[in-house]
Amino acid sequence: MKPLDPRLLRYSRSSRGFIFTTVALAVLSAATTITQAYLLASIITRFFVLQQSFIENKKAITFLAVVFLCRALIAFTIDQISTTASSRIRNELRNQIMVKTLDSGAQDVQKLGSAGLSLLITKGINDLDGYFSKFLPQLFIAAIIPLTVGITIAVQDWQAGVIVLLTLPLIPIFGILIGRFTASATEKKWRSLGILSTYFLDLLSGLTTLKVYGREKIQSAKLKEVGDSYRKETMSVLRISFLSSLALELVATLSVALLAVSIGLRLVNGSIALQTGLFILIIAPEVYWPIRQVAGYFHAAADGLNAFEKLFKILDRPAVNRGRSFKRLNAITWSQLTVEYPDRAPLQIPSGQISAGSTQLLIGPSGVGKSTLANILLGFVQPTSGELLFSTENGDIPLSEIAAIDLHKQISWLPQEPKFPIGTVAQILRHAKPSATDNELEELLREVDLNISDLSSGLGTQLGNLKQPLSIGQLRKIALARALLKDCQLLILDEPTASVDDVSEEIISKILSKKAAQGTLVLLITHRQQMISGSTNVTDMARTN
Amino acid sequence: MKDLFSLLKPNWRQLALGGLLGGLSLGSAVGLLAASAWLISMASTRPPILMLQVAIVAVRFFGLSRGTLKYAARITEHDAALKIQTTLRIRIYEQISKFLPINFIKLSRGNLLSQIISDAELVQDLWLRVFLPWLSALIAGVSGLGIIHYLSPSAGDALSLIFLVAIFVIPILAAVITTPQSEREHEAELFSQVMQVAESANEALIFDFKSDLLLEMELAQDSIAVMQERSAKRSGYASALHLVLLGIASMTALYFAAEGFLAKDLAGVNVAVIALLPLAIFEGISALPAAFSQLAKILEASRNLAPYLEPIHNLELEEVSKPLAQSVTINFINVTPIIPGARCAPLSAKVSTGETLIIMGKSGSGKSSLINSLLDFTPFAGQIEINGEELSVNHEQLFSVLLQDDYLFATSIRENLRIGKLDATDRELFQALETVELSDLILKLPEGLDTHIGPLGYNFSGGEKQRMKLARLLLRATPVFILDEPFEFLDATQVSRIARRISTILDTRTVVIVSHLELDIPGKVISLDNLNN
Repeated sequence: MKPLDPRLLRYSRSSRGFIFTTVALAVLSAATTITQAYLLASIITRFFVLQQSFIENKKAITFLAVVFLCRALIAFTIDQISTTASSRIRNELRNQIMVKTLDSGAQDVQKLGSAGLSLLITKGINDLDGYFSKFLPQLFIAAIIPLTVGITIAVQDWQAGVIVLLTLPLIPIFGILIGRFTASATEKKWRSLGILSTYFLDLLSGLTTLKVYGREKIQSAKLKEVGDSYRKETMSVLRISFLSSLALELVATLSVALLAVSIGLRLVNGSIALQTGLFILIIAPEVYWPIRQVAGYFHAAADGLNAFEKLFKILDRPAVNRGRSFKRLNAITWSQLTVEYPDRAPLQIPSGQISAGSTQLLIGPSGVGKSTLANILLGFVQPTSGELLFSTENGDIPLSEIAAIDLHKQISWLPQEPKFPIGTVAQILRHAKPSATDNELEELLREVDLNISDLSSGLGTQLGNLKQPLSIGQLRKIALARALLKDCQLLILDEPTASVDDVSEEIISKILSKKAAQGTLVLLITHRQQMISGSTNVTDMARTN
Repeated sequence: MKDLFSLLKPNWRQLALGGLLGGLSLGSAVGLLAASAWLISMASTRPPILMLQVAIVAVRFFGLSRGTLKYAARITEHDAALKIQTTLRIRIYEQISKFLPINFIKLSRGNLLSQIISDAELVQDLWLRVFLPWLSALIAGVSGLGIIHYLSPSAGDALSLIFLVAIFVIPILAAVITTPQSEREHEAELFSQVMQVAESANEALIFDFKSDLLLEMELAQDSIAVMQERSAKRSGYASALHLVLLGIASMTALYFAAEGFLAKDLAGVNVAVIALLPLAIFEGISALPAAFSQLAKILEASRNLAPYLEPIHNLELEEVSKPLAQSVTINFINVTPIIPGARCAPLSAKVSTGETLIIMGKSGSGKSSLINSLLDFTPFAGQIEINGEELSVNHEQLFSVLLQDDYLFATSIRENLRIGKLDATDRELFQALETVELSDLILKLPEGLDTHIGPLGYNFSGGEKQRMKLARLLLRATPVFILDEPFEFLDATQVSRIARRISTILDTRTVVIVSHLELDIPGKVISLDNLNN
């Protein structure tokens, strides 16, 4: 990660204006810093050498007061602008990530897990706050102030200028050297810290299980153990970063001390004026601290920068390519499909086909790849090899050539674990068919054997929040209704009866035959004997493997 | 707050040492400026070089000690803070596991848990970001003001007054004007929005509700932005006020330096020392307003944690008072779980050692709630008797339970299984895995039983996870086994094979199984649906 990634400017418009304003404010800040030091030095000299009184210097002192006020104002403005810009930029990034993620379907969710992805998008992006509101402004200040102040010192006294010129580069050089030297060690440690820090959450999440096993007390000791090793790991990371800031600080303070001593000795010779000496003494720290501060903020922003890489990986992905579309689906055939997963043997999916007007049943033991086939058809998983053809009114089209958006328009689906957005039952069902009337919805719910009077507020019952008032079975029935409601060419049902009783299984078979008779292709994934006996087209994934 | 401070007990010395070292480091900065100002002023009077030696040494000494002391302070403080963090986590864990009803834990999946965790992390800032910097600034300020007072008592008095305002009034002001608002609630809201988008991404594509999801997320994030800007403005005021105060202090110092010198109360070489020291003293305080504006947030977090912070005095394991009976009869007498908004039929049934009770019923008929009643997680009407006595609380010695939302931990397969039997040998583990048809799969994994479960390890399918949980349960040796939907996500042939094996293994126990599908094993079957009619 570079300190300022050009991609940032590309993805976030707000960042451009922000950078420009910050640079302007940094210039102003440099000017007031120099003026303040100059005024202080000259006032003190006039007190000490010319023995003037406070009142005799009222002009200079009033000016100094104004400069103090200006510094306060500039600091306030930089602070406000960075906060505002930081939250705008983060919101822009968040929006774009969400759009990309939604476009890619399961890809990111599968890779990171839905909690992982959500953490990246909320906490990960929030961690960038340190980068935007602290590090970036400081980066510009560090680029402008040391240079301006260094030149001013050189103009006043070339010998002090030489010392500054020789010592100033030491800070970034040291910083980079230390950074290089420690980067890999730190990175490795941060990674193991990641594992340790999730331990507490994991433990709390599984507390019910621990409790019924009577094992919750043992875990206290384990927690202490993990906490101690967490602390040791953290401390070894911190020691490295504190040591590097110590090194930078020593370079800075020793440089200032060097300046002070050399000016003192030259004052004894009389080769430099007191006012110049004081001025350099007051302003010298300003040469060194901005760069040190950058290094300090960089450590603070490091967490966020990790997120940056992950975020850009998602953002940089090319947009979904255009492809062919279809209106009418006659059949689907697949052969020799293989899907590769990290850490497990590649999954071979036996050949098969579905044609319009029939129900294709997919059976087999768990883990054999039934849901994977569904995911391939839905466009969520890309097979590594094999062939999958959609025969449509536009001829036979390989699935890979169909635009995702057109594919999704023609498919309806009941997932194994249905998820709903926040909304009422009616709203959620109408996602599948916006024009559906209340009567139509109620009738459909009756058809899937859901008793509407069991729902607390009928069609207006709220779904998708944490305190779910409905049972898992009821939720699955609503999801089934949603899947049936959508006008589609291909209907995929993944375990539609996993927790529904046998009675409604018959009903489902009936509904499905009706759907099939209307010309819809129906793919049914199930392990239920009863459903199997009623159907004609069965693929047993276990047998063919 | 009191409970929060009780956490400090074992480590307060180390924490205070950190604050002291930090104060000495800031004090070194003050000393560095004082020594160099004196050095330069003195030098300008062209004394013999020997007179400057002490000042030169002092400049170098303070130059070195400032950074070194700061390093020592940071190491000491952070180490102490992390120790306190561990204590805090253990206390939270013990509180939740010991005193809170199980329902709480169930409700809190997701949001509330991560909130507890982030609260616990935030509380750490109270020491590291607020209290210790304040202590250090105070130490450095007092030592700097001491020097000024020694050189010019009147300047010392005036500057002390300003310093008091800077170290007490402004931080308190900063803390008071920044009310925490409900930023965290909004952040939790945003997280759940995003989580929802992530979880329903696939369905959003198929059912086309992408824009709804995005709109909700944008609303949540906009209200956070408004809040952040408002609170930034407030903490910004406090920081600006601090800079204004620095200006006033500097003016005051200039005034007393000039007047003191003219009145011959102050040596000329000390004019610069008095005039410049406020810059160093006030630098130490400059970060306090921003830190204190976080105080309200931190205190809110500690209030949220309060219920979990009470120290537990009595932590010894409660021993079971009675020897465990080897044969157990469970008698349900008109048991109806009390669930708001649901109607459940009363159940009466009896199951003894060597018998299996299979409770069947539609989804939503209250099957799982019956199990929860038996475990005392859900209130119920009626009576449950065990060997003729009323149900006692201590059930983990009596029951082995497979919950519907049983949890697999993000650790190795071995550690997960050993929750069932702490000292189980690998042979025993494989025996249990064999029963649920998982041993072949695990033998094939390169790391075998050491394979991690979860996002950082091997990604098991739903059926495989369910069977793993069954294996864990089978390692137990209690008189009663309770299984809630044990065969979910398994296919029919596997169900009948595994069910029969389990039935054989458990044939000397009292077994209660809740299932929505018919099981081909011997046992007494009760359907809650029939009871309903």
